[in-house]
Amino acid sequence: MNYWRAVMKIFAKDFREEIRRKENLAASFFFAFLALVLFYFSVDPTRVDLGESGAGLLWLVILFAGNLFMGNTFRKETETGTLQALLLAPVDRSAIYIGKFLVNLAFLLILEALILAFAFILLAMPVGAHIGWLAAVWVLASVGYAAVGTLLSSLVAQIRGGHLLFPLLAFPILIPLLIAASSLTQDVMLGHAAASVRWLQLVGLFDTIFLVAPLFLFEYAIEE
Amino acid sequence: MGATALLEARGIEKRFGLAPVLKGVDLELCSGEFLLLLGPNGAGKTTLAKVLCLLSRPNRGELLFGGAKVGEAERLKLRRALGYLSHQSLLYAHLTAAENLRFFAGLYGVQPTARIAELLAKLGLGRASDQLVGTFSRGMQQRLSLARVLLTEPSIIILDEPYAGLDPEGSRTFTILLDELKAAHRAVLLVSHEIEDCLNVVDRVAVLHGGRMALNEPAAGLSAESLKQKYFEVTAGGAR
Repeated sequence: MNYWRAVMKIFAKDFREEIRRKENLAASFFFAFLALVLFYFSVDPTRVDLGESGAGLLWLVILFAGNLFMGNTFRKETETGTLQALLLAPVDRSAIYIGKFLVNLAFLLILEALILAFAFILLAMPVGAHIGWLAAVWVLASVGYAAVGTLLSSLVAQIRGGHLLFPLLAFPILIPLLIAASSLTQDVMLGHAAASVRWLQLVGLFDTIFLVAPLFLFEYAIEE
Repeated sequence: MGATALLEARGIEKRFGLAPVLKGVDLELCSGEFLLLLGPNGAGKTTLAKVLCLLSRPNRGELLFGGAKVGEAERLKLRRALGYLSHQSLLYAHLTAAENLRFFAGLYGVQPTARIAELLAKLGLGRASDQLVGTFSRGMQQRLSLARVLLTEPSIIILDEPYAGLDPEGSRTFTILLDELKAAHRAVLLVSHEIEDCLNVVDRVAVLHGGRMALNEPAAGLSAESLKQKYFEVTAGGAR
């Protein structure tokens, strides 16, 4: 079967299932909303310049909210045995990884769009003027986050209580990406996007490593 | 054995950590043959079924498909020829019956539309095709699982404890379906404890005990009673 057709089949199936199930997405979106409401009441925008310090806060919310659904990417499939049905199919197993990565990326981008909208409305963060640059930076950083999240989720899926292990493994690996993403976001909000080439290179390198390595490692990560 | 083995396992060894589960298992499944694999709990039957389905990599030993060693390049070919039904349904609870079958048909490159309706009707699920699988009874899920397996018309079918959790009516329906598989000359490996239900359709009986093949002989001439007696003889004394 055509590789990309298999990828899109898995993407469409997961997307539809997740929309119907709602449990992971609801928890994630609710957490993000709650965190931003808390920031609204705890941060005084007349004293704190959110253009200077808001980027880190936003990425912290994205990190924890994304973790709530990404850690479960393979858990349900393992619990119900459907992962075996996927592994039985005559498709390259990396197609399963790519399909699930794309679903995680899609939900992460939807989550980020909502977070950005709330940040603009509630916290009056200066996101509106540089929305194009900001979108580009966040998409790039989200690719890395979704790639790491999908791979680690497959690693911990066969371990009992593995979803508790997921953040312990993911957060240290994500540190360079988060630092770069926060710095880039801050630079864009302050209108210094052109000065961030080195951070952009770091994000690009991170994305490349964690998109390419799983194509070779995934089969061994997922097999008994 | 006479006929060429369609699927053959040679010297399969599998360990989980330091614990050996399979200790050099040899098994042949010929085209059109129906093999019943028996064994006590923990004998390694499911592990062997997973190794044969390429869901688990053996620590030692090799698989042959159509006489050729299964290397990395042949794994896709073997997976295309295999159908696996386990005691779990391997179906998505939040998709409908038809959506589940369409998804798997897509992964196998099967043109699904007509075949799905035909299979669902044949298995008595025609009216339930647009219901979410999560609302199905155990018997309905097992019938839909069989539809998932048959959808791709595999030449080798591995059924791992298909009777688990079925009520008498479900078991009777399933036995009729086994008869149909037999009539269709599929190569079937049936892992089960239901000797009475299975014995009249199988060609050969094997018993796995303590990770080794303790018995492997033709089913012709065996009655349920004589098979049970042999089973207890070869499995007496716990795991070896």
